[in-house]
Amino acid sequence: MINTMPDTILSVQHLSIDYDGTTPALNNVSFEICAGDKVAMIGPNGAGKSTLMKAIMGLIPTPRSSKIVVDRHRLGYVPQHQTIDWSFPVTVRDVVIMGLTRQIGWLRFPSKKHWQQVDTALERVALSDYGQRQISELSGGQQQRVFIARALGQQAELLLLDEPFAGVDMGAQSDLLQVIDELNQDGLTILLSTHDLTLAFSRFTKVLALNHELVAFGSPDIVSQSSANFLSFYSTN
Amino acid sequence: MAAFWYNLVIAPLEFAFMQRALLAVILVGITSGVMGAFVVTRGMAFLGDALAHSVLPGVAVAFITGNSTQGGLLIGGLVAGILAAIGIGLLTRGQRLREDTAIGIVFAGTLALGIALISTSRTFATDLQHILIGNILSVTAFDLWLMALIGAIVLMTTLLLYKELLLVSFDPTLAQALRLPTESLRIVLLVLLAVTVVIGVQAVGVALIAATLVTPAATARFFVKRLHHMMALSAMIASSCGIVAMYLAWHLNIEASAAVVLTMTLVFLLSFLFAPQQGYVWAWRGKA
Repeated sequence: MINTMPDTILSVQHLSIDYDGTTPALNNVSFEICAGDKVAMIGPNGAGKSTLMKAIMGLIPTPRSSKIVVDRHRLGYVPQHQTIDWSFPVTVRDVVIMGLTRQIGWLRFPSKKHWQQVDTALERVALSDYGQRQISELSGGQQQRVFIARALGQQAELLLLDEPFAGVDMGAQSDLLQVIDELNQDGLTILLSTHDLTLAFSRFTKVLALNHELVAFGSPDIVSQSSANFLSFYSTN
Repeated sequence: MAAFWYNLVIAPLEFAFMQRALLAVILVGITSGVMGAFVVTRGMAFLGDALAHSVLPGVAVAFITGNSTQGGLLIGGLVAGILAAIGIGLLTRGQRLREDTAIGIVFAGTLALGIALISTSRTFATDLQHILIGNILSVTAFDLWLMALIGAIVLMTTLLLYKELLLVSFDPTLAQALRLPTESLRIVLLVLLAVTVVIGVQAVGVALIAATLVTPAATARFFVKRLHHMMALSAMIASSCGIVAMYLAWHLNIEASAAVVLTMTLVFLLSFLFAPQQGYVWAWRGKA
């Protein structure tokens, strides 16, 4: 029996993922994220950050001993920049409405109401004027905001962002952070993976340090104290 | 002057086989133009070629049993193409086998089976030539009706599943996260492509059908920003090139299937060079 806090939006219990049967990608990871949290997930390359996100989204099978409690209909995600073909012939509005595919339903076409939802979402990430542009015409930071708008269109309560600052310049990173802050203040819960330790400890309410196992989880102060060895090893590698 | 235009445009249309051939290239152009947009955006050109060759055993059976007209060719190809599409889909399911490996195996295996079957025919060389380069002037009215019916089914299915197919093509991870049946959608797309290939085989043959999937769609991509616009433009380019090519074939006395593909290739090259914003010359002027 797992007891979760009443405002828990994501509960991960004893999560272990083993792809090849030799080295577990994740080993007995347990944590809970509450509504309104803004969590930065840190860890070296190959620490299992993307695997954890995939498991939360239900994209990879998990063993029976593991349990993930989350409302996947209210889950939005922003993929890693390099996983998307940016030259694909779609406009910004086309990308945002993809998040509503289930809501629109099989064999149906988007209605005026759905397109209004798209425009409202684009307004919230300050991209109203870019709706008709092809996705490749936007800068890296703007492209990430389009995916955030897609999650907002889905009426997501929890937003997963997988390395959103990779390949994005400082100005765009600052704009993106501002959007994330505003959405978090409006009640959206954030789980974001990043390599930027300074950012993680200065701009987020909680930090989740991962290296196949959960190294530490909590407020930035607690994590920096309890995992000093990990952080010094991580920051020099 | 009037006689010139009459001889150029109207005279060929006095022959019923030419009228049927023109209708056939229009039907093939529309269907392959639309489906080609998926082939180009998803990087499936190799798959298109493989599906084209995989219809060979079915087409061969139609030829050697003397059913190469009255829809026999289409039905034979349809069965073989759909089986190959499902075969490729199942072999690559769950990434047990890389897609290009599975395609390579099915491609060569079905081609060999097709050749083995045709080699049992006494008119081996003629049959093989018709299958490989098409025989559009032999299209019957019944074939046309069947092409139109099958083409309409392909287009209607694509229209009804458009948003799901678009999502699976652009961001398969979100499609999975939204619990869409991504594997089934992939197999549906493969089957639609196989059916499209079969419709085109009689017109341009097994050897050249992949070009009608790839070249018009690749040309359309220079001019549009959205997938459904690309489909519409690609269909227009493919059909127009088909019409022009039939006249070229008539007046220059060249093989129709080759004329179709050469016309499409020429339009692609012109677009590659001169398309606004995306063309080579535009980019070169921008840098200069």
